[in-house]
Amino acid sequence: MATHPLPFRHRFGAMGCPAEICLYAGSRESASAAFALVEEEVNRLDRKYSHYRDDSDLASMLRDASRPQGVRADDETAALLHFSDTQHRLSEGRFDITAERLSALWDRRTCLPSAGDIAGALALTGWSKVNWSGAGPDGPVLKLPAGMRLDLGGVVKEYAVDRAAFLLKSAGYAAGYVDLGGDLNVLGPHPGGKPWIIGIRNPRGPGAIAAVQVSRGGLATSGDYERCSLIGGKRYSHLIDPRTGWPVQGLASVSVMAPTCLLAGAMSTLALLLNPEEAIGFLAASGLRWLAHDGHCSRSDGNGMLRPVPEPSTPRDPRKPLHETLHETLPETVQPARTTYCH
Amino acid sequence: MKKLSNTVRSLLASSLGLPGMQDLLAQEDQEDGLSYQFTHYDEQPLPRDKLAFGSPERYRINSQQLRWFKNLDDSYSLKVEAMYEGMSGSSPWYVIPDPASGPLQVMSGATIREQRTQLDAAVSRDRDGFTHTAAIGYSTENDYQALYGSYAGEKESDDGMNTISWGASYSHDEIEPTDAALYDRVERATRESGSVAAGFTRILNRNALVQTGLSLTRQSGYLSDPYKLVWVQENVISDSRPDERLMWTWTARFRQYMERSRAALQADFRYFGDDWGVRSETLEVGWHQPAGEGWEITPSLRYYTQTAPDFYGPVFDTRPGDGYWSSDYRLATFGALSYRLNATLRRQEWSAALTAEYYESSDSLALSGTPQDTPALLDFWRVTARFTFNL
Repeated sequence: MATHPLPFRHRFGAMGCPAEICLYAGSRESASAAFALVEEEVNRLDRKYSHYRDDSDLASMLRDASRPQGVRADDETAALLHFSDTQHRLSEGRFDITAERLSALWDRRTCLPSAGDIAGALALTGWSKVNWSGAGPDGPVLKLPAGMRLDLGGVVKEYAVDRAAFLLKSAGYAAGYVDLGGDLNVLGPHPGGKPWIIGIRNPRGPGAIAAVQVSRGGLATSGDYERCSLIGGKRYSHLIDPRTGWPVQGLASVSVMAPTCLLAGAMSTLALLLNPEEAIGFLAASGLRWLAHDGHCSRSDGNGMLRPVPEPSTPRDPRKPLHETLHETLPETVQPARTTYCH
Repeated sequence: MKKLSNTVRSLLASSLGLPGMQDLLAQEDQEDGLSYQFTHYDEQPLPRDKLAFGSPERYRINSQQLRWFKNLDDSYSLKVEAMYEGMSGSSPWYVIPDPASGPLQVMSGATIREQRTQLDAAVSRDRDGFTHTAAIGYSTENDYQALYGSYAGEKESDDGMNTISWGASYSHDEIEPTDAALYDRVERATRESGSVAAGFTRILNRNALVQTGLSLTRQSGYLSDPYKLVWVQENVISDSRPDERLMWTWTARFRQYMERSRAALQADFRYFGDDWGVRSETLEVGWHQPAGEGWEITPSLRYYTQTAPDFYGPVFDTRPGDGYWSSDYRLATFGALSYRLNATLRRQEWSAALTAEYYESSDSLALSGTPQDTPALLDFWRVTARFTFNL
């Protein structure tokens, strides 16, 4: 008789955020091997695409992309640029991976940037100024105006989650999930079919605003609370409208469930870039499951999967980092006794 | 799943170039959809040297099928199907001996025109690793009515590597042959069929899968063909078969995904036996080759071999003592080859498929048993076009 798979949990830090894998495996050894596989892949993508690191492949590619002949993108990068290009087009320019200068300008500020600073950053922003041929005769070629930078952070984290899930599925794992800073891909439900319970953090306070049941697929949350600026008592999102140079005044947080984490992340980001009314309409028409929070109350697609909970059932552990995700209690074998919160 | 917006579809499509993304999406639930299928089936005329008299033209069938699939909520889904087909042509009636050329086929003289309508509905529940499906259906034509129902269950193992399935079905059929008094056919008869099945699917590794299944079917009632006659001892009399039949099948399927060519090999085997003495084996191999831009091309080859029951003969020189006889070519010892080519084009909102198949059968293709020179063995063409719209 086959041994019943046991649940294993692994926490680590990657891409600047807390990460977690829960996996049903036959033994601790096989689980450890799977965790190593995932960490290696996430680190590979971080090394390749981090815009914080000067030694990333992206950094060296961007240096080459300013040359007149441009730079040839490898298949994976070309596919990510193609996806970002689609997001840019669908958002009518609101989503823009060239807005890195603007994001840096508005990152955790204590005072408003000057109009001159904004104009300077805007001059180095705009996907339409980029010469990108996804399928040229010499393969995909990228040419950037001098001084322009790219930030693929908005897609790489979700992509890394999907890559991790793909590697685990390919290795034969069917029950578990991968969570990178609140963006998840659920491989499959608990043995026996019970879905995982994932908490959506409250963007304005402690605890969770919803407990979500997920059996498989992607779940991503975008919020205005990450790297936001509080200037004169007013909250400014880290999401900048590249058309105006000013932070978006949208919803506080949007969670979306979709077949992949990449898709869920793209939809939650696009929704966050719209004004609240447009965003609700956009989500309602999507056909996906979603939950939005405007800072005061939450709205969802209403079919029960994303069920808002009025009060967090467990108070937030003050020792925990700000980012919170609530997961279902695992059986005693691996569950750390101290808390039902993971990070 | 509800209808996805164009934004979601565009994003989904543009993410497919990323490594691994297609595999992650492969296990997604079926989307709501509506499909229309048209099939043209055309039997080749009977060769003149095998025809005693009657029309050499055989059946032509045009059938149209409309299928609607809807996810009602997270666990329930509904499928409704309607089919209408029109058939025309002549059918093999009986066989007469000819000392010079061997048995010759007598075909029905007049062109038969028939319409058949079929309605099916199925409800599935998919929850906690169990899938249950209950279905009912009704088929009607001017001389034949069938009412049937079925249940099928499926359970995936905890690790998702094994799936067991089980099911049962029942059908009640009523036959009222046309021109019964004129041709001394049975005026009204019924037939009951009950069947049980069990199967097991195992994922061998990330690229290979095996499936095996057993089924048992019991039929009782009027199992003869009211429109067929048999040459028995210088007389032409009604087809006569036992009024009970127990049938069993064993199937084995294998799928292997080829990473380098991104193609999949399919190999299926089926064994069939019954207590009338019929045995058959079927082997089918296919190659599913994605050709880029949403195209998939699938050539496949199928071989079928069958041995006849004891009461089959083209003609009977002496009257069998048990009272059973049939010269229905479908019960003969024969073998058949069919060649099929399918092309499917998938787009975000729709898919289209075109399949062409040529089937040829003959005594000489039989792997075992003694071929008995059956004149009515047939060859046919079948072309199917299907359009599916995701709703």
